[in-house]
Amino acid sequence: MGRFCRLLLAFTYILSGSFVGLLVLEGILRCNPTLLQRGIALISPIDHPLTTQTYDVRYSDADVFYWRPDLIKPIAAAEDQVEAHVVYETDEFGFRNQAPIPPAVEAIVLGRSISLAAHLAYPWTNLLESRMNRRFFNLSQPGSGIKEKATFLRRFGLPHHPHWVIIEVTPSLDFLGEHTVPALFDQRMVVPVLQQLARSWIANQPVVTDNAIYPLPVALPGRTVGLTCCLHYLDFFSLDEETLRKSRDWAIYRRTLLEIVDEARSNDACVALLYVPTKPDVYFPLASHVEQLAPTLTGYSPLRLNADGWIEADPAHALTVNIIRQNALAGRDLIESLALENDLLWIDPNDALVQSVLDGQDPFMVYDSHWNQLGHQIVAETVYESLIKATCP
Amino acid sequence: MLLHTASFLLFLLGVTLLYWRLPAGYRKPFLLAASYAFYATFDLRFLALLIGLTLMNFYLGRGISYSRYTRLLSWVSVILNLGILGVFKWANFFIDNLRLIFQALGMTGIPIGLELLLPIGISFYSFQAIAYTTEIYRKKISPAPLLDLAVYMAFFPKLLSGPLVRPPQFLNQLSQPASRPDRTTVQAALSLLLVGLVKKVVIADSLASICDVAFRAAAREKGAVAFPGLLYWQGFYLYSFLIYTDFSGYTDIARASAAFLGFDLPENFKQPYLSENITIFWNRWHMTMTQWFREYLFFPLSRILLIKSGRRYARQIQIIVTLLTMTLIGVWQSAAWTFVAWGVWHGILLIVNQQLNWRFSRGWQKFVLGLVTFHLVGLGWVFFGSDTLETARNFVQGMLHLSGPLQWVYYLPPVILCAFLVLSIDLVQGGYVKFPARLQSAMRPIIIVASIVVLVCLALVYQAKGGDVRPFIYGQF
Repeated sequence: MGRFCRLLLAFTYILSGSFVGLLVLEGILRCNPTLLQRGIALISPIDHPLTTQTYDVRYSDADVFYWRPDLIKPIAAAEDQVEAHVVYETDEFGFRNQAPIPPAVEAIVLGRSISLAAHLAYPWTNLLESRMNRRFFNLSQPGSGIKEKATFLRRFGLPHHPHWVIIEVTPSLDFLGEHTVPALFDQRMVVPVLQQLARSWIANQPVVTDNAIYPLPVALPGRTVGLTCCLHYLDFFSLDEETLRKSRDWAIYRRTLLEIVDEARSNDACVALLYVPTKPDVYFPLASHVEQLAPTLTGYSPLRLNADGWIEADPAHALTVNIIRQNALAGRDLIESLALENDLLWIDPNDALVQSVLDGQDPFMVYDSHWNQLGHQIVAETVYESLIKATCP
Repeated sequence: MLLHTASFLLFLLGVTLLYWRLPAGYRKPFLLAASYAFYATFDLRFLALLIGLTLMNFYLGRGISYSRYTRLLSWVSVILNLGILGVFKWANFFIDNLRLIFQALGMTGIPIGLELLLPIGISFYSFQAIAYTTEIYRKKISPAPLLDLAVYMAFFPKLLSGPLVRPPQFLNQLSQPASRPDRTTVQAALSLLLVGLVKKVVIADSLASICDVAFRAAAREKGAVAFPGLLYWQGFYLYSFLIYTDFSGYTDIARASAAFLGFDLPENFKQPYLSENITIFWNRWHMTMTQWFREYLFFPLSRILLIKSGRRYARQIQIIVTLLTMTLIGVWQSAAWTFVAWGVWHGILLIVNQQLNWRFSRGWQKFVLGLVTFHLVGLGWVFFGSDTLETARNFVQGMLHLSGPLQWVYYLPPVILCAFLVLSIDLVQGGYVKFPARLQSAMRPIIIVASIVVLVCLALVYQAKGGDVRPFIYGQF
């Protein structure tokens, strides 16, 4: 056999072997996703089932220290306070619930890290369970988009005959990222492993904080707060409702969401959409002096619709605070109209959260965009009020 | 330094390269030094114990061979080796149970437990020491030079979890000049190493370890039965695969490591889950341990009892000695009632099989019986994997109580993937499935590349995630 043929044969073996190996790896990661780190979007929970972890959450545990440590001024050790003592229990599937999960539950909750609340002692779901004396099955996982939510509902939720399916909606995170990527292999085959490596690499990078802007002093009515927020999704607020409505991203999200609704209803469950106000939603409209928020936009460009109807970055234009304030509720209005069109229960704690800020309180973590315990209490109260008033046979 | 870690593989590479570069006269001392260095990475105190045991057995061996007190010294050797093992392994078990009895009787003066760390591998090298002195007593071997004995006891590929090598088998290899393994041997060793790593890292650690959930559910004080029955069935099958691939994977790595150094260690597993009855299972599972107990306990004890009874109660003696041997095998595994129960369970199965003496010739009958055997063995593993008898009871109750949604889609895939991988390896390794030579030569490189890709990716995943390496199950014994 000539040299070229031998090389070609060797290349074929390597390619075939790699493909088979990646298939086996994909199978293993799908069967045992606990091998991967929390925060990687997967179709299965990534915490070990039936375990209890006890830990303290400090300021320095916030997301921003991981994703953009260059933007945040270092915290002195003496100031790095404990924000929450957490006892994190998982059920027999790896979700955050008390085990065992009963055969029938009051509600399934499909959310992201916000409703999972790994940084808190009592997510709103726990508070509501105690209030209503009914079991909630919290299927929230960090980074789970609408497709993961659909899988969780089918695989874990519906077999437990829920009365309600509550879907957490964070437009700035949920509506984007639905591009179909032409791929030879399943997109997931290598992505979680690469994500894990990337996270590990990111965590080990030296940090330079010369351009640190957070905490950013922002004047609100009656006081000034040190605001830390606004990571990778701030550019979402550059889109108005009409642009969002026309986008293919929204079309895919909408379609999958309505499939979830149909599936839930065909299993005799009622559906509620829980809108998730983020820090920009709540604080940006309240800021007394718009220019104070300008530093948060460093490095961001607005988004636009491309010729194919996908949302993409528009680096030729500048993103301004006024644009964000104008469109702060565009995503919310769009999803609210969907809820009304399809007779879904709409739960919006935005006003309650805004009111708490105006009352001098802070419903978000200090250095993080997640709700703190007060935020979860407010949300639990809002959900409770909505559920008891709703008609669900 | 566990055998499935990158640090061990680098260590093995370094030792192998240096070993073959050294003049023949320096190889044994080098091998001993490397083995001691390997063991010292766990704890220097363990090394001191191993050296002490080696010296003790060396002098006892010489005493048995050259003194008048042959029988006495042979018994002294057994008692001392078992005694040392017993202190480390079983002392706390007995003290804890004694404490329970004291408390039940309302007595004071409760014995204090010993805070002793169990030296890794002690169950294996102490049994090898007993085999050494016993073989001298039986005049099967002569006392070995101290260096040879030290290498026999400490040889790093088999130090932690066997296989239990018979003294003549290893000492003969040591006494002959080492010959560099040829290309075929090296290729075979590399394949075995790869298979061992796949079994341990891919199947045992990454897949079958999911079974931990079922044991955690069973260990809960309240509501163990409230978990879905499928959870326990998943745990049942996965633990059966886990214990097999973990231990046989270790053995494969150990044998491959030894082969690189020119040593041939015996097989320890021969596709045990393909056995059609329990007797055949025990001829294929942890074969070197079974042989040890058969050679040094079962046969001698049976012989003594038969002689004393005038050969009148052969059947009863067989039953009693079988039950005793299997119970002691359970006790040898670890000091807990669950292991005693496991041993007793297997004793009962063996006795029933011996008494029924069913023989089937048809393929489908053997298949059905094989499935039954697998499940009966699996039931024993429930005790093996449980931390208390109550946990084992809850586990079995959970299996029988098929409550909760039948979420096959969730519970079945890991079992199917595990079963597929284990069966594929066993059917090919055992020669049950043979492919045409051309297909074999085409598939072989693909399977090798696939195995390496999976292992490297999993290593990167574990490295990126952090956390301790999952130890070998038998390393804890």
